[in-house]
Amino acid sequence: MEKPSVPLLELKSVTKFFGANKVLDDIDLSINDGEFLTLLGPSGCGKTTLLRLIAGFERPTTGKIVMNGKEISHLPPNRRAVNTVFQQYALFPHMTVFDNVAFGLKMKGFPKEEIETEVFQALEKVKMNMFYLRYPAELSSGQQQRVAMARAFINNPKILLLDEPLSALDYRLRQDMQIELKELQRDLGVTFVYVTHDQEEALAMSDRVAVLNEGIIEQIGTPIQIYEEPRNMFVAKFVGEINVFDGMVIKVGDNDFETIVEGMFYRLRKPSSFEIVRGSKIKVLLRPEDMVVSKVNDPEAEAPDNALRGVISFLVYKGRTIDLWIQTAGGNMVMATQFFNEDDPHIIYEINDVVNVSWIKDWEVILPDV
Amino acid sequence: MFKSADNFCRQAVLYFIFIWFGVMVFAPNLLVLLASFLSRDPVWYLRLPLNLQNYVALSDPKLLSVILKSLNLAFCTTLFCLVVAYPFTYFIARFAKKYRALFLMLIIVPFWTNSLIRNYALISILSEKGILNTFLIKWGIITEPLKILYTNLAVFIGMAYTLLPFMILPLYATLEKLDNSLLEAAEDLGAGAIAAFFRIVVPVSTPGIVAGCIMVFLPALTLFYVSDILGSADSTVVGSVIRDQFMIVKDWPVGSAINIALTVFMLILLHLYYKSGNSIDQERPLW
Repeated sequence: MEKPSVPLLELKSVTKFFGANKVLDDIDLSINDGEFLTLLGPSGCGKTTLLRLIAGFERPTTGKIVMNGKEISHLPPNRRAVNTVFQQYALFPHMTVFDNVAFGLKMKGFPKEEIETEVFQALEKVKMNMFYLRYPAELSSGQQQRVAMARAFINNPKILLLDEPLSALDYRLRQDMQIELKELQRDLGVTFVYVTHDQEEALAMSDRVAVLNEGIIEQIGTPIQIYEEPRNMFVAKFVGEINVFDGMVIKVGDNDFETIVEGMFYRLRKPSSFEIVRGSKIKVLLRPEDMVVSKVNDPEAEAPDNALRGVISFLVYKGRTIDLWIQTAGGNMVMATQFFNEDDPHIIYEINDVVNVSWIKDWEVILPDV
Repeated sequence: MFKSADNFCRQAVLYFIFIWFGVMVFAPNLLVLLASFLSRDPVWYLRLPLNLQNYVALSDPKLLSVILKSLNLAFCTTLFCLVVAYPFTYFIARFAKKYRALFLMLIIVPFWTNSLIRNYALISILSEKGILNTFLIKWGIITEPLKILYTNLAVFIGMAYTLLPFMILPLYATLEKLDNSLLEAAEDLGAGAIAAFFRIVVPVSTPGIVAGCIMVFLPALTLFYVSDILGSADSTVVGSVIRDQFMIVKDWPVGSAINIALTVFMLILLHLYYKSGNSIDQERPLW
């Protein structure tokens, strides 16, 4: 798909204060037509405020919001081509499902017959047409969520804003709804801006993820970029589990450098994101699933090159995988996720087993130690 | 062991509530109902035989005209209280939390003074040489003092003043719970402030409106001392008639019959409301 030259929506150095409290700090963000963009961050990071600015419930303190080249910063919500799905759905309790979904079109003065057709079409899309006479209180939270979706997208918005729409659902239902939402987005062809604090949800659904923290965007990119090439410690730690090792650069080559990690000597590939300087401190980051663990039969033997010696201090069996927490000789706790090996199904890990820990070469992420 | 102790407490509380309702609500009302079918006795107040004569007495045109006037007054009072209390309560409920408690206190504190005394105080405001007339004349708005005291208007003012908090408190209870995101959703879907108010705020707060109206309407029919203090002979309320039947005429059966008629009337109104389908709470018609 060819990307349009002009983004659908642009935030240009948007800052938002609540009183003296700076909630958003000089945010620049472009949203492309048809994409699924997730704003991910811990509570209080400003993600909901950012959503409300786009919706029109808040005005930016400084900066501009531009849609299709036209500034919309000061337009009220109903004069923007965006609609919101609220966190607790905010369905009108005194109206039936039909009346809830019809509300937007009624306000716009659509003729009755057209409203009826459109409402049933919208309800069909979320598989709720059987329930059109029910009241919200008579629906499960998953059903309420669908009605809230239909009530928003029936207005044909350019952008649908979703504020943690799955947070009220239980784990299983949330998984199903993730797939359903993604399908619905493809079906509607509408741009989704999705707010969540759940990194798994963000990675699973989004085309792009913007990681927010304390009012700034720490990193924006595809889920793969966010997960595999975190740009700083915050992103690395917030998205998924990660092991962090301290390193000291002892020698810098053309393409690689030498460093000491946990008292062991390593030759690692130079990162492209920053300059490696001799004598500087670095962080070496590794995802648990990139760790390689091998059982040691003779604890007296030396650990091989590039491997740390450790003892399993805790383990969690998860069916497809097993999570190991390994106490290294250097005193670090390393988390390693091991997939069961079809060739060797008899490997059984137990607490207090002595193991060697290394990682798949070049899969580490190097960040400066600041 | 703890569980059985817990169970015992729960049972005890349940029994207490049942007994309370039985002794304080059910039995007295049953006695009134019974009395309304008995005959008058000059010494014992009540005696057999059972008959319907007391209800036939309700059709007395003089009594009917008092009832109608009283209903009219109660209706006006309720409407006035609703129209005044609703916007007032709405804005209080929208205020920051710390101010809300203060405003509620300001409403409640005057009602620690006995309402009889407050109605007497109204005399000094409404009388011909009272505070109101003095100021109106002083400011040149009127030249002759207004005759308000001992008219129906004075009774209306007294009723509204006495009963306003009974409208405000139930309204506040529902409006305070009104979820702001409902208003944002309405705005998002294209509803202006007026549409959002009438299509969302009012329907969602209907239980509070109904509760408030009941709390005002019934006392407005029966608060006889307000009409006694502020009204004329013409502004008798149903409550005065009932009191007179019991205390002066000593006709308990007829007094009871009027009382039962009022209760039935209120039940019919409530039933109509629940049947209209406007109720969003889970309550269903009683029959």
